[in-house]
Amino acid sequence: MHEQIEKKGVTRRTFLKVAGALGALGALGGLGIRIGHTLGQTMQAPSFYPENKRLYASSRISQEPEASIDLDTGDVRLNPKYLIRSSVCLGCFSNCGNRVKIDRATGRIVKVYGNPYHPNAAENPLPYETPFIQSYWAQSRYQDMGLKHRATVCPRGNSAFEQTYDPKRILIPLKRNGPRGSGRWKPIDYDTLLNEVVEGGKLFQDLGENHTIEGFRNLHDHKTPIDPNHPEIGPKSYQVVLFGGRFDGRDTFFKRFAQGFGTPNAYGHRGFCGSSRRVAYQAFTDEWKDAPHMKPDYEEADFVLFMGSSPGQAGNPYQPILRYTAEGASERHLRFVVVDPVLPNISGSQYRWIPIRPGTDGALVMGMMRWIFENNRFNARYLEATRLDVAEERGFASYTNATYLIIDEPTHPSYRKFMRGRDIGLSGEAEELPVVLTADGTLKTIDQAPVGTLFFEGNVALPDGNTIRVMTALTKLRQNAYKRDLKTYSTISNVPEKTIIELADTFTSRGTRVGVEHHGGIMHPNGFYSSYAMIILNALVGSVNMRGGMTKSAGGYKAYAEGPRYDLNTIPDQPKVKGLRVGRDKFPYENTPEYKEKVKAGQNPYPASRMYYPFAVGLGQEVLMSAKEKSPYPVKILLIHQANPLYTVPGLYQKDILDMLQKPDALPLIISIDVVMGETSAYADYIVPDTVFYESWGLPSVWNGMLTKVSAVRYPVVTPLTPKLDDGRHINMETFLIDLAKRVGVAGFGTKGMKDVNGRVLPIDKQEDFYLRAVANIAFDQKPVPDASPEEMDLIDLEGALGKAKNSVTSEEWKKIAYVLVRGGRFESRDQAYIGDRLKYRWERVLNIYNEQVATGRHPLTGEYFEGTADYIPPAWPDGTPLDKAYPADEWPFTIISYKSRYRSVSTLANIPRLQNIKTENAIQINAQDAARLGIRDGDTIKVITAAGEATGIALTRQGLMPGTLAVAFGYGHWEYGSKPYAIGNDTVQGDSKRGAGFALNPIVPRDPHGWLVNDPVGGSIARNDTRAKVVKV
Amino acid sequence: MNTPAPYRGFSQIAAFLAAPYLQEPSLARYQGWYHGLELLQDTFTNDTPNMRLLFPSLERTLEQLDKVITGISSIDSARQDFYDIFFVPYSKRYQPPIESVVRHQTIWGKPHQELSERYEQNGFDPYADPSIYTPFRMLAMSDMLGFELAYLAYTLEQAQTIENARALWLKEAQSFLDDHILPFLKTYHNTVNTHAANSLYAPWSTLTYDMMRYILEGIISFDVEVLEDA
Repeated sequence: MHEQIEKKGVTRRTFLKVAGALGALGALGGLGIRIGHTLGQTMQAPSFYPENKRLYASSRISQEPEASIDLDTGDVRLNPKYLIRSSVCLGCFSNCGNRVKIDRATGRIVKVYGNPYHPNAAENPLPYETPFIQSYWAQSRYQDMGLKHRATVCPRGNSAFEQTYDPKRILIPLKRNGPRGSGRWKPIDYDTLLNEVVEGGKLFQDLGENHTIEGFRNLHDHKTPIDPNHPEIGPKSYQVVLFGGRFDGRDTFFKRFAQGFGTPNAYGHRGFCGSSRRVAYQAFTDEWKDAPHMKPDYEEADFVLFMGSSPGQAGNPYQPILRYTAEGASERHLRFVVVDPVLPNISGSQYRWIPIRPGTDGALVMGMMRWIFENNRFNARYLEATRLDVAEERGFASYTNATYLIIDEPTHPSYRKFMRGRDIGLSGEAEELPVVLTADGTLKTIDQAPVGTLFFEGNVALPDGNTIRVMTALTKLRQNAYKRDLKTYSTISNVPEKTIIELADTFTSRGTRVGVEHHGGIMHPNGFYSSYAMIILNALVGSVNMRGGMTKSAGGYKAYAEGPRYDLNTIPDQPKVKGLRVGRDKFPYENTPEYKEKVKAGQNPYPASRMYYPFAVGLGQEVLMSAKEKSPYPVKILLIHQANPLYTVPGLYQKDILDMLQKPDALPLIISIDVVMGETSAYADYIVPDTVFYESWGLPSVWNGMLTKVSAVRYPVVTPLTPKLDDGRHINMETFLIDLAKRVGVAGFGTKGMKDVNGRVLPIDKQEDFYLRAVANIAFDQKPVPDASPEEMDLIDLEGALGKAKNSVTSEEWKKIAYVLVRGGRFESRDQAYIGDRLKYRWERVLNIYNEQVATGRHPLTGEYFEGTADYIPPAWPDGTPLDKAYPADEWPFTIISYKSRYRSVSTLANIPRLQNIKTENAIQINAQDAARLGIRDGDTIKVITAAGEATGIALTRQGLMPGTLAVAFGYGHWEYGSKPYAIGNDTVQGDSKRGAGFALNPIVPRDPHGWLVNDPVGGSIARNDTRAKVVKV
Repeated sequence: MNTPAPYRGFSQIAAFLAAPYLQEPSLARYQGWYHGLELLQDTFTNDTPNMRLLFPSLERTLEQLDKVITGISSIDSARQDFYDIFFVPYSKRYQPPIESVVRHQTIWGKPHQELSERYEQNGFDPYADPSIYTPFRMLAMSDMLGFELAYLAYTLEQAQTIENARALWLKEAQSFLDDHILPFLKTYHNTVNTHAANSLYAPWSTLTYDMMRYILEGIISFDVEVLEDA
């Protein structure tokens, strides 16, 4: 060998010389031993030129950067062609902070980035006090700041700005010029629009419709009852119903109109989204006014159970969940499980997918609980504590009512409620305190008993000598868990017993560093109980308020609440609202005239003639149903703001509703404030053009999961494309409502619009009067933020954006508002998240393993009490008929569900070309074995048949799907939204078939035999994922 | 073994050849690489007149570097080559120098797992050098060609300095060349010459492949007795 190489003329000496030569270069020796030293010496300081003629960019079409950074000095050279402003995304509902790049020459948005100050967008946000000019570093390689403080947006965030320039956007007020839904419109002058909707009259006489329509003025009546025989239902003003689509940070303004007008009917999307989870958390926290909910501390947790939700696929806030989960899994000890019928888009050794039969999440969790109880794997030391101080002494940060005694005596007036001090003869402050059973068998109120007995069921002696049957809250939960054995839970859920045990074992093996995140699994008629079970899992281990456990989130700085500068929650002269909401939500049947009349007549009051929902609020899905039935009272005006219930509500787009809409007497006036001709706006009488989110204000709350305070602010970063009025305002929702309110005299707008904290009355004549003052509250909350420097204001051209509106606030406020606007909001430092092993922001009140309010509520059809704690209840129609019985599996072998696409945001974003190009349409996904059995292959056209109708789509076979399940991505298959033409006068707005591509599930979701929507009777969520189906290859 | 050991020379060649696979191009770096190649060329040429036959791609490599240094081609263009070839799947020139990809058509494959453990066991930290392009450090793909060459350099330097463990380190270097670097480079230098022929990385990969084969021969031929003792 030696000889061989020597023959080639290279000798050992050669390499010795090489070592010397390269060593002399001072650079190349010892890589790997002194790699940093040597390579670093050789290769001079790198240079990076973000602005430097990116003519050779990979795509060859890249834009010029907005700035360049000198990597040695950090000097920022701004590109004068562009302007950067901070905003908040609305590509979905996560409300991630972003930065918008605006071409100064055209005034158009050309690109969107993440906001490095905002914790939704950046894993390590910039310190809040960082000068704005230095924030450019976070987009560069200067000192690796672009990696350390990298801020991102997702595909939706990157592209959602395109809706601003949608060629089919509605930019003028429209009035229908034919029957409702005919697609015929005519332009209408803004002033005429206002006059007509305010005054009413025979508004469509020119179309041959001679009915008289009541306008806002006539319905602004707080005295005349809708039904003189039942004045308790409410006055005429209740017949104005508002329907908003999104929590976009403008919803507070929209609802203000309802409050000022004097109607309780302001609806959103809650009922056809996460209502059951909301109500379950309300039960868990016993907080019925607000709707707190909790999420895991993803980054610090050791184990997270995602149910019907998964990082990077579904669940809000989208980016933080994904980022923190990835960080926790790769850098720390996080393992996580996704329980979902559909395989999520995740890989990695720290994660596991567990497929489950739709609607049976509760069975899985109750099975876990059974194992936990049988194996004593609950945290007894935590659960025994009757008070917070006791729990804290024991090392925890929350406490439960696990040991509180429930009165289980049907004849007792407090049956199903907690035993209280008065029940054992105490008075004074102790009268209301819950009672526990101590180890020595005595009954004590919780102020006298630091710990209580966990499990007890039986009679206890009272001081008066009587006995009473009681049980502890934890006993009740255990009873429910023991209703079925593990094998049965496994059979129901299709999750193997072994897996249920593994999950329970894992969940109870990590101390308090565990949590459950859930969403999709509660879109069922049993959603409340499934959700309650998932939530209670956290209470069984004591993870609430703990580092790595469950957080109620920090919330934001004061904005609308009575803040340091203004009081935007209180409306001067606000009419009192107390009565029945049109969706029959948050109203027990027992309070209705029907119930009272039946009782008075000596009749069994059950079943009610219609469902009522004593706990859930905001059941928007019921608005059009109620309008159709004119029950509980007729709706006279429906005012919609960027909502689209005909597309988004399962089972709503059916003949009876369309018939009702086409005959205006049932719902005389529909006004839609919208940006595009959505499926619902297509049935409106008037359409008011609205601003899209980058043209709008908005103070959106960040979805839970943030451990420190986040207050993001959106302001019009580009000039709206909607018409500009003589006073300089642009037409949009806020402008329209202000003008409407001022004409009618609605409280909370105009001269006496609001007050500052000193009680001084201030006008609300333009949207900035509202929003700028809210931002002032944010800026001054706690320790006020610094003043923005003139240089910072110039950097975002604040004068150009809002200069004409700054008279809404004081000059002192303006500088601090500017500081907030420059940074896109106000954000607390993440290092404030923890105090030792506990979260800084905690839920301080008792956690309810058993909720007595729920337990004493009754089902309006059966009259039976609701369960007061977690349970598995099979998905059923409102009358209790299980869906499995209603739809036998041999006839309806499939359950079709929807899941969230990453390229659509529920019903919106179908008009975004970039997203259309990434994913043109959805497919009907079918399990590969099911497909093989039916002879279905990828790309085949298949027909899905349900009890409500049928629809065809393209098949996609996959292993990653629970057998017996069909899955479709939501947001596709629009039949309006610009997909089909409509006329404005003699002009036609052509349809774009791309927007209608794909399959829409909701129109073929069936209702119950009454024709009612199938809602969760407790939580209110609609049965989105319970549609039984059969499949035929076409 | 009375003659001085040549392994530092091997090591420094490996380290030198690793640089373009780990560092983002800049004019200064192109100058440094050019100078390094010149030194190599001079050193070898003094011993052997058939240097060009041994390393036919050397001239082409120097030409590529020279075009940028003299301004015939811009450093922006060179940097874009780096991005396109190493990072941008839709560039049509994407040829990431990753063993899992080249040999197994996957990312984070078995070579990555095996090499991560191997580096750790042998005390080699490939990601510490701040001059390495930060995304590479962040990605920590142990089976990137640059890191593999760096590890080879490390083993050979160990062979140079730790005389009583020399045989073991040489055995490690030899097996690493046999099992990883050479089969990886054999494929890689062909594909990069096919898909990115006009970039620096085409001739540099061929040069690296030839030089690695040469180093393997050198290890074996100069130290047959040492290896036999191992």
